[in-house]
Amino acid sequence: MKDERANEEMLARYLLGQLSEEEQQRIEQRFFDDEQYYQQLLEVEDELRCAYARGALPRARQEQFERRFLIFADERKRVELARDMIAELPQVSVEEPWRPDSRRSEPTTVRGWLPWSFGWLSPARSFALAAAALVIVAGGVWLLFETARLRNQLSQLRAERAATEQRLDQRSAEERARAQQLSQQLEQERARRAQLEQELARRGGQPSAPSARPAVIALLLTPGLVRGAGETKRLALPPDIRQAQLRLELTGAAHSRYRAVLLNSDGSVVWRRAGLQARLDGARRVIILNIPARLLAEDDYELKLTGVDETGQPARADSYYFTILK
Amino acid sequence: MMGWMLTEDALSQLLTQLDPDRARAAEKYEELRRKLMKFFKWRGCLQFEEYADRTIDLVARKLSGGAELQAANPSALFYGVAVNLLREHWRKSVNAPGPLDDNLELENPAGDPEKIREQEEAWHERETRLACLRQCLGKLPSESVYLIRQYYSEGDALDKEQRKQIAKRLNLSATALRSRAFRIRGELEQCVNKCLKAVE
Repeated sequence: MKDERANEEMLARYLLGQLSEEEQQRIEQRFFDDEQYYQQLLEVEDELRCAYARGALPRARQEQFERRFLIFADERKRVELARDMIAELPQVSVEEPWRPDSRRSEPTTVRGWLPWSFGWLSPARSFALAAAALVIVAGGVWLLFETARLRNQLSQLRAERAATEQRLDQRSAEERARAQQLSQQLEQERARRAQLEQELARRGGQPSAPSARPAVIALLLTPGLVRGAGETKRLALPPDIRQAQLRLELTGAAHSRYRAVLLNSDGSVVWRRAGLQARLDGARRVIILNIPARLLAEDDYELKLTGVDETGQPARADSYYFTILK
Repeated sequence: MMGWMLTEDALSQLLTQLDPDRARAAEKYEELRRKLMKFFKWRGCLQFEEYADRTIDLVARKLSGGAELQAANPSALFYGVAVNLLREHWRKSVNAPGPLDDNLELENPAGDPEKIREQEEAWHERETRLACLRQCLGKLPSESVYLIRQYYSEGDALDKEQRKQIAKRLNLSATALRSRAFRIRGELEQCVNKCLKAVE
């Protein structure tokens, strides 16, 4: 026992960095080869961890522990968990298990505690007493069997629950994989739709032969509240495109004139235009902007459109977000 | 050293030298890796995982160059290489543990929005951890809860004499009691970590 304690103390000192290099290497060579010794080290490490979490380490050891262990993020988390566990354990209600050395008081004789003597016990009363005793014994036996049956049932339910949890975990993983796959498909569909929109805009404005390349490419935009909310339209600009036509759908009150300012992802102004007027495009009110393609590098853009009233005062501004790809 | 990459052949050779049976060799590999990580961690190396892997790479390189593991003491080569790497690490870096600034006991950073946000995140993380812990404690058999409750009682330090009494009451030796408490705590930690991963 004394040797064991001395050994544990040595291991604690190793973990706290208090041993010489030679002593450390002796311990390390041993734990690499001896699995039981290694397990012992892990147990001593955990003891130190829990003692620190309980505030039970002497001050000097506390500081040593902090220097050696709390430099690691995972160790800090383990100490926090140990602390929480120690705080929570008293809250958990648990029966004290039967102790093999617990004393039980047993009556020395039946006559010793029976409240009557054989002297005045009538046959009827004897029979009643015997019957009562039999009922109690039978009841006790039934309870024993019932308890065993319920325990069995509980074990089965626990096993079933474990199996169900496992199935749910698996199912959850499958669903996550499926969601990811659907998300990828959605992205592909969005890209395809963007291409189709460009194609449609190109066919709408260019009376050219199918094989000729258009000089202008168009994109319809709706106002967004913040960058990144919802879908950001993308426009791929081929090298021989001269102009990008942006069709800005207008919402809210109408104004006689509008000002447009185009900003890149750095917030720098790339292009601006004033005195713009809205026009009808089917059921929509739109502002049409033709921006030279040479000004549009591959980037994320914000186009701020401000309505201007008759006196020239600016009214509310909407922002339109899009991405240029090259 | 940085230029050499562990190839499949070198790894295969390493595993074969650990054990002719591939499954046992893989177990021994994992055990060695765990011990190497602990070695570097216990010696204060913050990049303990990286250094453990570098040790294995170096040993594999030596083996592919003709070296052999000692049959009686296969871990000796790993340990020797690890010690050399550790010395190299000390030479490169200041040999002092990191500051305690980001340890458990933070100063109260009133007024700093970044610190306030960190505090809120830490609070939220703690609440989630507590919920998982309570759930996991509920799953433990009552004998296990009883044992660790006795073993890790709060308040005054539970000295070895008291623990001997608990061990006697539970019909265990003091060593067996400690091992059992350690095992139960390990199961509890694993359960909590699994629960936290599921919540993320």
